[in-house]
Amino acid sequence: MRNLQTVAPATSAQTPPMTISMSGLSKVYRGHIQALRNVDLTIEQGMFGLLGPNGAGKTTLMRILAGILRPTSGTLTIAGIDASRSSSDRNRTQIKRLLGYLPQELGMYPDLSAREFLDYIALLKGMDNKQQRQARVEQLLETVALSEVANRKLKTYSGGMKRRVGIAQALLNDPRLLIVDEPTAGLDPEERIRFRNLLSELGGNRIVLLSTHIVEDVAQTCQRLAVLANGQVRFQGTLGELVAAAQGKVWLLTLPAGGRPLGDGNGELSVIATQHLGAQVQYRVVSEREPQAPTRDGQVASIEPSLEDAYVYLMREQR
Amino acid sequence: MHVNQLGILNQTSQPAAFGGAFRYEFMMQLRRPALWIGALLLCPFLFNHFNAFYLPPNGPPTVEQSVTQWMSFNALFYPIIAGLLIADRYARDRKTRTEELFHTMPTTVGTRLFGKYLGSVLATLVPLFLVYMVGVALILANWHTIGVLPMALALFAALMLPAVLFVGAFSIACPTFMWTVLYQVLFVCYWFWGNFLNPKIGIPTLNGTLLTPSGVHISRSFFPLGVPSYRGFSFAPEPLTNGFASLGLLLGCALIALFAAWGIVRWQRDQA
Repeated sequence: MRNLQTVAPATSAQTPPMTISMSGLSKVYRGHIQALRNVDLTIEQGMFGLLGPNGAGKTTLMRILAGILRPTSGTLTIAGIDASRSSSDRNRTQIKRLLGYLPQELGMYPDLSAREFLDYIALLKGMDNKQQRQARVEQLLETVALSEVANRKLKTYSGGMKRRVGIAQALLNDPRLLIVDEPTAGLDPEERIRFRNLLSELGGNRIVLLSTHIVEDVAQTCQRLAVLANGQVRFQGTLGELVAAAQGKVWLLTLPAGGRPLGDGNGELSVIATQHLGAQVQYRVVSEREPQAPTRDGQVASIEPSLEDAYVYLMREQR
Repeated sequence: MHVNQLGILNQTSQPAAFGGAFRYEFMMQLRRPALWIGALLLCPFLFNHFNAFYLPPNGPPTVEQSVTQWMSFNALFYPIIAGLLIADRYARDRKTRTEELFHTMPTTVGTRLFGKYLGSVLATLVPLFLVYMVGVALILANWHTIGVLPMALALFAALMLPAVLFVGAFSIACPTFMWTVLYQVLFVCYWFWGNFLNPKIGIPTLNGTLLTPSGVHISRSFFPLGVPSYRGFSFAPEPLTNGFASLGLLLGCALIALFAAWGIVRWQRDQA
């Protein structure tokens, strides 16, 4: 994939910084299913990660920001425009002009080619100048390395290629808010790295909101993040702040083969990784206190937490 | 209009969006194998006993009657295929999840809905037009005249176009709130009830009223042939007002169905 800097420099230097702020935002689905509970969150320009387990409410929040769902209560402003439940259609349309959205499962017409599909989306986004529209489509096809297969029908594309078409359609209108929901799910490692790099390059003078349950994706791309669980924000801040909270809580236990780390039976110890090293087995664990080795041969050492450790520690704390 | 650094319009052009929906819905419908297969399957039925029904010496006494009868026969059956094939156009957006993506765009629901409607209806008419014109060509060749060609085209525009616009509107509108397959079954039942059921047997029917979608009143008032009937097809002339009233009712009902669909989709979106 080509470097995006020449293709999508976000918006002009004069445009005011993009901000999303929400306060007390809740969403209740039919059947009294509460997907979001009093979410207070401020998101500023750059890459922002939204992390949480499946069913945490990430997709609901993304769909509210994209204008697909309306919040049940609370206030929401995007670039200073009210997007709360009672906001006007005019406001919603204004926000949609700023938006690029890549859903987890991108809807496409399988019988259109990538070029046709992008042209159709560009028209629906209101790009009525044929020359500019075609130039933009070609530019983005090249950016996502699909120019050579652009006339092939979408039903013949692999998952990774479809995802690239998805990001291209989201970028057609040079959005100031780019929302990507689980963009790397199901991609092979190489394609995933390529996709992460692409997203990182986009987070200049715009918000790129990345929702995922893959911690590594956030670790590699975002400066700030929020962790969502059971519809509530459990953490918001920088990656460093989240990692710092787990300082002194991550341990490496080296035990003879067959040995298992001892817990107190109250679930105060979480095993992050297990590695068999011949006569020994190494456990990476998160624990509030230094864990006890079950035998005298065992060794315990405190280690630097990773983002994944910090995430597990945070989720344990919230139980 | 404000244009950003990349030259992209920050205002939404609804005509551009309408044009896009129209063009791509037209293209996608035209590429559908089912459309061509449906028209081909109808051909043996339409062309069965073609010589006896439409060509001299056994057919109608004039070329005008031949062409009108050929159009009337097409208008009785082809809208069934059209209605069935247009019915999945809206449901498909839900099935392919494109609807969710479209909801994030600044285009209004109405713009997309009307573009989709017109694009898919006109594409659905293309195979029929070709089949119809093959029949017209056979008739004109046998009568050694092409003088009736404009009348053949006018018949298509006055009878088939309103019929398919009418059924197309309901086929786009009804699946917004009901299961597509159920609609298709009900639609076929409606078509036979509203066009084939003889009003004389005592069961209420739309057949014979101004709302008869196959366009008998339009045919009799706009193309009066002065012949009471031929092999079950009545050509008895009617006042022009009947034709206009029937046309107005069919197109008016189509518009009402589309505006209702627009309202339903907006309401569904607001409830999300």
